[in-house]
Amino acid sequence: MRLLILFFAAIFCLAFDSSFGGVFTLRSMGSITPLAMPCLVVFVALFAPSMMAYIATLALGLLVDLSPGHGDLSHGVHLIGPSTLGYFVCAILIIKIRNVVFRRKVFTIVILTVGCVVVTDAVEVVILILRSLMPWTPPLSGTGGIAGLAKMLAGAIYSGLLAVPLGWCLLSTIGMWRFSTPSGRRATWR
Amino acid sequence: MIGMVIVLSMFPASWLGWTRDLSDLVRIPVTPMSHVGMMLTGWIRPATEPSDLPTDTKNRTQFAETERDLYRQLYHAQMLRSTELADQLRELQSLPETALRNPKPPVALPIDLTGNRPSDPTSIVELKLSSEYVDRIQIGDIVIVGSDIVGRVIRVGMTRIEVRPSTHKDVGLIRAAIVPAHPRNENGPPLKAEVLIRSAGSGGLYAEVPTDSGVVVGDLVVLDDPSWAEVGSGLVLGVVTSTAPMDAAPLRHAVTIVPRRQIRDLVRVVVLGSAESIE
Repeated sequence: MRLLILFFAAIFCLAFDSSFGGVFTLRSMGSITPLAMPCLVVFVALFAPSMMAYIATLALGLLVDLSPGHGDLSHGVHLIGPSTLGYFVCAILIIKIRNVVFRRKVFTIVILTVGCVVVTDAVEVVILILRSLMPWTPPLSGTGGIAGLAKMLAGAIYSGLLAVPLGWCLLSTIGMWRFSTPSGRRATWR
Repeated sequence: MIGMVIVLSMFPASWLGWTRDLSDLVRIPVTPMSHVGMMLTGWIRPATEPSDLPTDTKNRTQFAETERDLYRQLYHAQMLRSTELADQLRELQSLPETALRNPKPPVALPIDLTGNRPSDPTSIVELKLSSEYVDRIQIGDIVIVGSDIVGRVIRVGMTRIEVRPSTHKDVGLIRAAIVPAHPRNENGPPLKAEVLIRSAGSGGLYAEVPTDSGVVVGDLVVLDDPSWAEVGSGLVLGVVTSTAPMDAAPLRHAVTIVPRRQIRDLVRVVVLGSAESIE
């Protein structure tokens, strides 16, 4: 896999998610905004070699956790973990199933992107709950859990919609990525 | 590595200050693309302003103070205006019935002297004229204050009028009548004398009356001249300040008349406009 291509794609997705993705924000529906990075994570997890996919998704998650605007803790401190572990878990799941899905189909990327957003958010929730159990962090507080869940699902679906053009672009440029071709009986890419 | 990330995610915030530095490093490659993207975003979907108010607190405070000062100024201006209108109303209420029943309503003009000769109390006075009154005033109109005549209009321009006081030497002879100041308290005739008055040259008027007319100091001299506008009949030209026998004409008395009001001592006059208003 060409790391330079991954780097530029990651920069584009980071810039999209942290700034100009707002052009797609549905302001009248609770500011639901699509994410581009989950689509890239899904794409890498689908086609990259397993170890490379794990490392790449960890790196992508780390970049997202450190990206501008994600300093959720006090004094703008960034919490490392939610996206890093979330994308990593997604990569594990996708690698488990990627041999039984139609990887070359945009629809596959769309569905997996929706799942990736859901899983990542779930991992983030788990991490926040665990953090709240620590004696040095204040307990979690907040209301509107159902509304938050609905917003998360809507965001996941919206990210899936964004994955239609984005996934198509990624699939169109798959030759540039130079993913290593599997051999043997499992060489046939779907 | 995964375990390390999990441990990092459990760290207290005070131990993660270094993530800000890492974030700044991540920001370096992202910023140019974000900048271009935000420019496109601003072009495609400009931010909606809830109102035209500045969002900054300091600016909003300054804006509020500016507005407060503006409205305070407007309030004071309106208060002055209402006071002025109340004064005008009092002036108009003090007008004689004839002036108020005139189908052509009187014009109240503020005294805004644009030219006079202070050394001569009888000199012609130039007043500023609002354009809305230009078509309601014509030459010869009577200028009054209350029931007192202070002069006549001798010239009407686009922006100013000239008023000649009734004591001016060029006024000529004015036909008038002398009446008692308090008719109800006196048993004499209501009309003491009909006289021709002229300027005395020093801010007063001069007339001659028969000795037996009974004219005394304090009597009023009212206009009774058909060459003046009819609406001015009965208005006061002045008050008798002295009567003296005339050596040259023993059967007559010389009467000195002084106007009760001088135009240059007033703040507002009323012109009994006789011109047809063009609506």
